[in-house]
Amino acid sequence: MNCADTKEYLIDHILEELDPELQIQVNEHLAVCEKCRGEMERTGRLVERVSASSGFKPVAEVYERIREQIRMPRPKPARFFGVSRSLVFALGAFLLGIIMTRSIDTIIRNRAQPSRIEVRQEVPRVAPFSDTVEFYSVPAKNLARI
Amino acid sequence: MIGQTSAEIFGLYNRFKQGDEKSFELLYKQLSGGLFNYCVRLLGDWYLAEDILVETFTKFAKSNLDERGNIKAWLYRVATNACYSHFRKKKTELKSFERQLTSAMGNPGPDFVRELRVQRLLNELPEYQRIVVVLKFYERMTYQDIADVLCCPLGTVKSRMHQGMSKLREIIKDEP
Repeated sequence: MNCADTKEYLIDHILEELDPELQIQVNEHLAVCEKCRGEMERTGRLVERVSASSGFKPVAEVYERIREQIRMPRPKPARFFGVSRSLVFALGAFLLGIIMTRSIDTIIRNRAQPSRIEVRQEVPRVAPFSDTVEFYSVPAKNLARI
Repeated sequence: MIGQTSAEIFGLYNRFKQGDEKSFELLYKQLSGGLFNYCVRLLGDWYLAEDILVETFTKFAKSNLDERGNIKAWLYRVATNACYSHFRKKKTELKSFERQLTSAMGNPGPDFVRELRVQRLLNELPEYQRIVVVLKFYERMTYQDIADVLCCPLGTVKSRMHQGMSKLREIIKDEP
């Protein structure tokens, strides 16, 4: 390991976060390199100074605030003139259904209407007198039968 | 560091999604401390950090994350993005931090002085360097995990760390 490599691992070496193998290599280099040893001492003092803090903890109320946020009530549904939107939609759908049913019914009724047939009441034929023979009423082709 | 507990975190998250509120509480207990400390160090403001913590965990509860993702990195990313929006609004002030520290810690003692000194040092760094330094020194994340949080290449993280350290070294050099 050379000086440049050692410099890269110096902070991790001070924080004791290097792999054991790398730690040994850095130690070996530090044992022979006075320049790097001096650098390590300076960096060590700096790290000690910067990280000299016991750390801060949040107060218990913070967790309560988070719990309140998580259990936030659902947003209220939008309203049309004071009536809930779902009710307005349901009413609209009902009216639309009635209109459509009526329209379809009318169309079907118009299509299914029968053609106009004139019904004439036939005047009952007055029965001829029994002794009357209607010669002219027999078709010509049947004349031979008579 | 993130990878070791990722499966465990996801297991708790899954149980919470199935309706187990206790799992969410456990997740909060495991993750909130680090996340809150991270936000305080970035912003130098207790109350803002609390707001961001609430925002982050609310998003977390309402999210639908899958097993492939790194949940812890996701949480820190959400918090970081929220912090960025505050960075744009106002600059971090040490005076408000000092006031909040006084009310939180009571009488100014050695701990108080030490915390204030650390915050003053961090405030000297630009935000993008501060994030990397805080994630490395306080959250003990690997460079790869930091890159996952920031969604940037590994080289960028290393160079920001290097720049941040150089700047801190210069600041300390001038101090007694």
